[in-house]
Amino acid sequence: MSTRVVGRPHPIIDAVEKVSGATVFINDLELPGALTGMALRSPHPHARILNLDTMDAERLPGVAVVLSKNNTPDAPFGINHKDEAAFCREKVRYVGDEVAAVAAVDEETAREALSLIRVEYEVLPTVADPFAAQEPDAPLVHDSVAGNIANEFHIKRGGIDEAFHAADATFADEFHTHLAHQAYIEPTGCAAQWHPDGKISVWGCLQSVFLIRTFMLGPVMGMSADDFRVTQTKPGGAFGGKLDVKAALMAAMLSRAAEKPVKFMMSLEEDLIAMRPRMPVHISLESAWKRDGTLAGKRVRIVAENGAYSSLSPAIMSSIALRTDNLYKTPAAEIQGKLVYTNIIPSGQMRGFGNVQATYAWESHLDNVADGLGLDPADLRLKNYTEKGDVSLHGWKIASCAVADATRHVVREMDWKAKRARGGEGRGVGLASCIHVSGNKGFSVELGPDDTDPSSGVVRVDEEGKVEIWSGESDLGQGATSVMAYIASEVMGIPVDRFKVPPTDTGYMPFGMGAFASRITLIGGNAVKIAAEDARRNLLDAAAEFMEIPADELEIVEGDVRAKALPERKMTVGEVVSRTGSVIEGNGKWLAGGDVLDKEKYGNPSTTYSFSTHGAEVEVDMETGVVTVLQVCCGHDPGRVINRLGAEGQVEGGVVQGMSFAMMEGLAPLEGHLRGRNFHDYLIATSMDAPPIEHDFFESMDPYGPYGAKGLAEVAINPITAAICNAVYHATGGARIRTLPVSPERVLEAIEEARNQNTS
Amino acid sequence: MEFLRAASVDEALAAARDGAAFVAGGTNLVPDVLFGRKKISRAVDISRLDELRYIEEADGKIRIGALATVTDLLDSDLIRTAASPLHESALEFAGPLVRNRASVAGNLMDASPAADLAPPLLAQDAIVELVSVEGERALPLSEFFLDYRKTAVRPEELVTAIVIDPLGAEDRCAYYKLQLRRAMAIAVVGVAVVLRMNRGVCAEAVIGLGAVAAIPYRAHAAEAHLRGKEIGEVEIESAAAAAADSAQPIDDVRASASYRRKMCGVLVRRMLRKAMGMPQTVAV
Ligand SMILES: Cc1cc2nc3c(=O)[nH]c(=O)nc-3n(C[C@H](O)[C@H](O)[C@H](O)COP(=O)(O)OP(=O)(O)OC[C@H]3O[C@@H](n4cnc5c(N)ncnc54)[C@H](O)[C@@H]3O)c2cc1C
Repeated sequence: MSTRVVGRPHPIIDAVEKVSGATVFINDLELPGALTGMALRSPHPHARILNLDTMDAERLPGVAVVLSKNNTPDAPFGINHKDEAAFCREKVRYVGDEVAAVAAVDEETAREALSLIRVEYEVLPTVADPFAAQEPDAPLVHDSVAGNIANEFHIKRGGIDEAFHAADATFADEFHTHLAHQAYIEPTGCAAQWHPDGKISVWGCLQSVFLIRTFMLGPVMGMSADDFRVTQTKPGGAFGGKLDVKAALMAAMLSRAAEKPVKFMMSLEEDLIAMRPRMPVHISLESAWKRDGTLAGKRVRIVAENGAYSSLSPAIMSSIALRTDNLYKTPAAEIQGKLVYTNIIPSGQMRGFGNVQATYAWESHLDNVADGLGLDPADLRLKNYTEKGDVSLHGWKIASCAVADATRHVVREMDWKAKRARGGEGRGVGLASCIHVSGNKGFSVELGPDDTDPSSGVVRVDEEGKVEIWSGESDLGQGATSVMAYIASEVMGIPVDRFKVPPTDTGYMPFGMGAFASRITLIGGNAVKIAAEDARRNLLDAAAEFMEIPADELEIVEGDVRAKALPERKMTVGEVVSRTGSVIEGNGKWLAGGDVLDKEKYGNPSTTYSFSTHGAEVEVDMETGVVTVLQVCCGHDPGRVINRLGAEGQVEGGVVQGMSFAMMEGLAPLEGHLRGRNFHDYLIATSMDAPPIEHDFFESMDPYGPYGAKGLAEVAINPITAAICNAVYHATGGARIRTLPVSPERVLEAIEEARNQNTS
Repeated sequence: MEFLRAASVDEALAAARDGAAFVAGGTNLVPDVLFGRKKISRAVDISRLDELRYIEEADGKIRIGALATVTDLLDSDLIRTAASPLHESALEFAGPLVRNRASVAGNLMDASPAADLAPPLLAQDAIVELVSVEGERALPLSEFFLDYRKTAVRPEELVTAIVIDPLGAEDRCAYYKLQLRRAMAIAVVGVAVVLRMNRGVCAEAVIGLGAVAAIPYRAHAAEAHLRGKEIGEVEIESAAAAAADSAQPIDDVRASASYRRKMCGVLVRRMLRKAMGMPQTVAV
């Protein structure tokens, strides 16, 4: 289908506002009379609170309120386990845990008040290692949770034991990922304003303005979701880290107690030590193969680090456990997962939602397998990829799939065959692929209203012919609002520059689950598309009356309603709306496809799935272990590209962010204390580190997607880590990176290990 | 905290009492004060003292004014040609924004073990010129660093210039900064070597090392394997081993002590080979 807007490159619709500095971020928000909120955080990884005295802080002039366990109810909350409290009660469980919070007239007073809070701790032994944590005599992070096991599952499908018996070859590996942060540039903050009718307004850069009311604010504060009006402020980055934002709770609780507006802005250091970074995980893999490279089955054992509280971690672990099985035709699998509490910052979701970790492990393992079977790693993958129409062993229904095209593109563009024939001399190439959901039904049950994973949109046309889109889905800077504008513009025949998409606001906008699981383009996009079609119909119906031409003989072109047969008979869209004396609106709602998984984790969690393949060429200094990524080449299947510029930005950003995670990032916990507490010790890649990135899109035209589109954000980051590790393996003649990050030191150890193996 | 902008060196010296600190580019001092690592009663801003900002050749020496910035080093043909390890260290230093502010004296006075300018300055026998109300004195850079973040400079003393010996046509040199990203990164190991050659014989060898001990230092034991010799494989291997032996690194978030020690040897060998125009033992 030929399109006017869809698929073309456009700057994001609020680009000018952003680059000219006009955008109001949370820190720019001014609420008259607002107090400064600040938290007192635990300095210990694990300690019992023997006494907590806030009297001196309360007496300090300029302090409005001090909140702690002493004056707040015990209202545990949590998405999967109710294991978290607004303020620590009997114990602190990680360095950064909220012990108390103050609201004061200014920052200085607030800081001084914090210093006046006296806490007497009995320091307890730290549980830092997830394996030691499972030992019978290990201290308990939560006294009621035996063995520190937060979650556990064991699934067997498809005759796994037989598969291993009958296999021509089996392979085993172990991989370990590290604790890395979303490292968004805008520190987290929220503002809240209590109103005399008991309701509270909240502002902040939040991934889901609707859900934070139901999983955090409402239950902890003993209020209903409707008592909160939550407004998204323009995003300064999130990457998964701003779904679960306790700053919103702090601001709201302080505001209610003080009966005044409160701004609770975290410092960069607080962000690094007290948000919800990417979950570290330990993955053991065994796989069974036929001689010709056909996958027969796999066994996966996972120990995932939960940190002090669970939040979404059980779901993340599940994603790590199952996801890669659906990328290849996997006849049998056995999967065991254990989620373990430790006295480290609670881990959580970041772009990829566990799939970065899972893909790193499995795709690294695949190259070891290819090596063992004497096959080319690209050929091995091409032999086993899932295809359109497949139903995976876990029940995933593949509605569209162009992963093989993406891989062939990488092979061709990288001169793969020639480069693979060399290697071992400090230069090499590697590739890796991934599959990702576009929305996940599981979250809808855990977080949402029901199991439909819904999204709604409203499209309003005014008398100037300008269009406003209201969607419940948040823009995080990924360009969601722009995608919605292009879809609606395509449907309505009104130029993109007349569209405005204000930040999501629960006060007047329709419901949306929010930005996670790469769901917005597919689910939010469909809702807005339906709303735009409705608005177009309403416009044409109104015009039909004014122009005395039947609606089906009218069309909208460049913002004019005109007769198809007589293009000079036209009215502008604005004129049509003017004559109605109102606005013209369209409404749309879309419910995601797929199912909620059963107890055995069987089912189709998403409407459809996206794919990608990343290839990397690296140079390895064999004496220092320093790795330089020379180039990255990728292919993505996002169904259909809606905005080419935005899509390219997703890919380039995803690759560099993933490379950064793989090679240099890390909060580097040591006995429960994080060492990467600032951007001096926590490194993220700079433009100097970014390699040239060549890429293309392979549009599988998804049957469910708006104009065929599905998610792109997460397939853009998932495979790059393994691609780099596989390239290092090739470049070094066998140095396998089993523990992230790919630091020079680690690479050197792996080179030495490979050398010892080759000589022994 | 009191703030005072000095209009002259004398004014700066007069103000330098009782917990005062000079502020040059402020790239160390401002974060130190903001994050509570340093407490000062008075900030004496010397950044407008243009008479301390120059790079010039005089009496066969290169004089670098205390306030010369890292960008100034990069812009100087003199530094590029007659102090190329220093030029290369400036290339690897932070990023353009920080380089525009960061002063040479500030880098030394901060006395970080990883101060990037220290190894190349050590390798060119830098002398630090100081002044206070009591008078002037000069201190070799090799006696400047006393211990972790501790220098031989007295609180009321101002660094006015750093003086180095230019490289001659026959002299050989090399520099390397091992870091975990390509910009804005603290050195894991820094190595600068300068070999003063006289008809094929190494008349003087100086090796400056950074980030492998509590202070940047000269690897005297390693230098002894080179001085007075015709440098070949044997001398280089002994010097590299002695350099690695001399290192007293720590474990930190960037690398382990054992990796740093090993890299100290690898990089000293590599820089000596590079300086001598010998092929490397691995492709790099
Ligand atoms: C983001 C960032 C990146 C950085 N990257 C690097 C890097 O890659 N490599 C590196 O080596 N360093 C780096 N630094 C550290 C710093 O920039 C350098 O050490 C810089 O050279 C300090 O110079 P300054 O003029 O800013 O010193 P200031 O901060 O002004 O002063 C530092 C100290 O020296 C004293 N001082 C300054 N001038 C004089 C003088 N003339 N006489 C006596 N005392 C004086 C001050 O009182 C203070 O104690 C970085 C810093 C930042 C913030």
